[in-house]
Amino acid sequence: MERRNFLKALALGSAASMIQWKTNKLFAALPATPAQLNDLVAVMGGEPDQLYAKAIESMGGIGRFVKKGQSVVIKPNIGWNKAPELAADTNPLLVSALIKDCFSAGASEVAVFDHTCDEWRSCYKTSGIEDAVKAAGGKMLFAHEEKYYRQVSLPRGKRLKTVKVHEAILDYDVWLNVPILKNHGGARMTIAMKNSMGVVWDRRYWHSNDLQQCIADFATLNKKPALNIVDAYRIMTQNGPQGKGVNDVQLAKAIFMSIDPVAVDTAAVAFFSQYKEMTINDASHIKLGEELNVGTTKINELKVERIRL
Amino acid sequence: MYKFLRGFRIVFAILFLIVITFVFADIGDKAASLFKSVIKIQFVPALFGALTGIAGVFVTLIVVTLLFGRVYCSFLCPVGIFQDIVSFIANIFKSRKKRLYKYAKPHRMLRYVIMTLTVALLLAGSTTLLLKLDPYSNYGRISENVLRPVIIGVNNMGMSLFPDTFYYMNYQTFTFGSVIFSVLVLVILTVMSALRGRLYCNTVCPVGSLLGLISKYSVFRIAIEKTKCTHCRLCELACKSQCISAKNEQIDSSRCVQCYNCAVLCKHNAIGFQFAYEKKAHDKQPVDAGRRKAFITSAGILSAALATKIFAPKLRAATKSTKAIAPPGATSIDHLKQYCTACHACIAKCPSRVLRPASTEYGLDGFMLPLMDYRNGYCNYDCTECSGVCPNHALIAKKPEEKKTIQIGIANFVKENCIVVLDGTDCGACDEHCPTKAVHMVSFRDGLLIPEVNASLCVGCGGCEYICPGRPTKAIFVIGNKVHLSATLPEQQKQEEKTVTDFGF
Repeated sequence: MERRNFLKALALGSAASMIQWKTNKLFAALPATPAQLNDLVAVMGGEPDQLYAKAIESMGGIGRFVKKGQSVVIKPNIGWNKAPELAADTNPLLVSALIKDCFSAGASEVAVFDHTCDEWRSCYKTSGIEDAVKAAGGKMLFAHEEKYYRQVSLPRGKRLKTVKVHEAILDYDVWLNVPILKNHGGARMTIAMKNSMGVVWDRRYWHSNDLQQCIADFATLNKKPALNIVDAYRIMTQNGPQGKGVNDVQLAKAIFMSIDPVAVDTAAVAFFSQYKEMTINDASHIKLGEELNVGTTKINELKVERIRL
Repeated sequence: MYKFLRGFRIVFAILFLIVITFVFADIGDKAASLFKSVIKIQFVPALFGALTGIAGVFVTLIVVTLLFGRVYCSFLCPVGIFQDIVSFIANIFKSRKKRLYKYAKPHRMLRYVIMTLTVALLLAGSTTLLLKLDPYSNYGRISENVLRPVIIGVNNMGMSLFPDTFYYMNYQTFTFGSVIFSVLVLVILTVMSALRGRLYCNTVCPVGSLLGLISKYSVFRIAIEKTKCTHCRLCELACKSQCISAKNEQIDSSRCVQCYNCAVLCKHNAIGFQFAYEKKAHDKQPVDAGRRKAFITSAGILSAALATKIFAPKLRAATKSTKAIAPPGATSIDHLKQYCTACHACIAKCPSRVLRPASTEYGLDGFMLPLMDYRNGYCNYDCTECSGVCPNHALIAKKPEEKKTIQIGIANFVKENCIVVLDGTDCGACDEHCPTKAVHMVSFRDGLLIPEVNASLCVGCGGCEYICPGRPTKAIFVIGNKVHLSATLPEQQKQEEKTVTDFGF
């Protein structure tokens, strides 16, 4: 009977946490102890907004990451001048759902940017993200000039000691990292850790100073993403990160969330390897990140929830 | 009637100048796209249009000139309008006496020799003289090389006040020679027009000379009615072309730019449009020696040009590749030299800012022509803005799908300079930026991947060259095709649609 009571309590508890997410004013005082909350959530089988809603609910609601009155900066992948169907950039529906959710949690401001590879105005437009952001009440930030970046040091970095980071990452209260799951010619995979490369000014330096190590080094930045949300609705399995066309894309209809970028990347690579052969040894920045204590690849030791819609 | 006509001219001209300036200044993308076709109704672009099959605008301009004279010079020519504004402002600061113009003798020899030289070089396949004298192209360059930096400066000041609305702009298309030339022309035009009204138009400008030549035979001409004229000289003193001789009751139609200032001032309605082909041949002017000399010299130059064209063909094109890379749509560097007058509309419009004016990269005769420069950017695979805006057919407009197969150059990979070889670490920046996967990664050693180039797929966009972190020498760079070739469209790699039901971990 004890187990049953325990389960009941758990069910009630999670129900309560759901209510808390919806009316977090009422229950804001209730602190959720970390033990009850999931470290890593994977959801598959739905549309981007459904996947997001389910996953964030399982993570304990957006209120866990965004408090009332906080400013939020979202960093999707908007690197390429490509339409959403080509899976080169993060899905705009996901970005839109996330922004609305941030506002429902009482965010004072939600801003979105990427230091794009292709010409920035066309990337913002073609990716559908600019329109989605504006419709959801957020704003796009400029990131195309060195002027918008500030130098910070990375004392724990091995190859990357100083780096110019976009001012919004440093100044906004909450940073949400929203990559799309893709194959990558240089880094092998681009997921959460690699997506962060888009918040710095000089990427050439990384390429010429051990790319994989620099990606890991940057994850030691004091300011960390409050949450990593991996968009795997459409995934690019070959010719990444830009892709040649729709044939490089698989409709995977999944999403992954974790505070730990190493863990979420490990999980996403495992998922990806069902489509194309890939290990975290190939995308070596993931293991290098673990060596720098920015996260763990041992996802079996974490509290993981897998949900099929 | 002339009051209305003159008022209409002034309002129309000022609005037209503003619109043209918008196209070049790139203040807002929307304004520039909305009005970009206005630059096609300029004389030189229309002339090139006629040469390449779209003659409508050119025929209209010629017909208007045959009917009413040099209407183009006062209504449409941006340099003409600009000079009128300068003279107007200069007159405010001049003493009353200095404000007055006096009849001046024509500089026939100078005019027609410049014009003929320009035409001769055009026939020989080079725009090099035309592009330095053409008023439209000069105005474009002044806007792009002098005005835009000013706008950028103002914008960047505005940015510090309104950081959410104004974004920081960089003047990365800067080219010393082109800026100096544009500033020089601006100064010359300002000084000439402040002192002598339309002197540039009536001595230097080849378009003015050609239209002037046609205007000599126009159906309606501004002329003085001898029976009404009291020789008060009001018209002569107001003529910025200095082409009215009140004493002789003569107006030099080849220099009259249809401003109607004279007709408005005349108190006796003695000056205005007259039908020029009434049967009264008694006005025939005596043939003067200057005119004859100019004609003979011109004919000489033209035949020399034609002879060169016929007897000395194809001195160029010894090699196929070149360091200078011409923008997509140019078809070849020779084509560019034949049709481009360096108005810089393409440079103003390029969203990636990969185009800049050439210094001597194309050779001396290619000075200021648009050049691809991959130091600060690369050509967007899906973009066709430059050829879309080109009014001269120097860049032939292409649909995005067609543009994707134009090969303006080929990426050249130097393995010894590559990070992967030098440091033994992953890089792949070039592969990442390659839109066609002409540059792709292949196995190297110790699990590393290294780029490889498939030349037939390469379009020469410069993405690889731009991003290559190789220092001091880039490991990958584009070598231009003198004559643009076709690239193969990248084959799509079909993959099975896979349904995965497991999470994999």
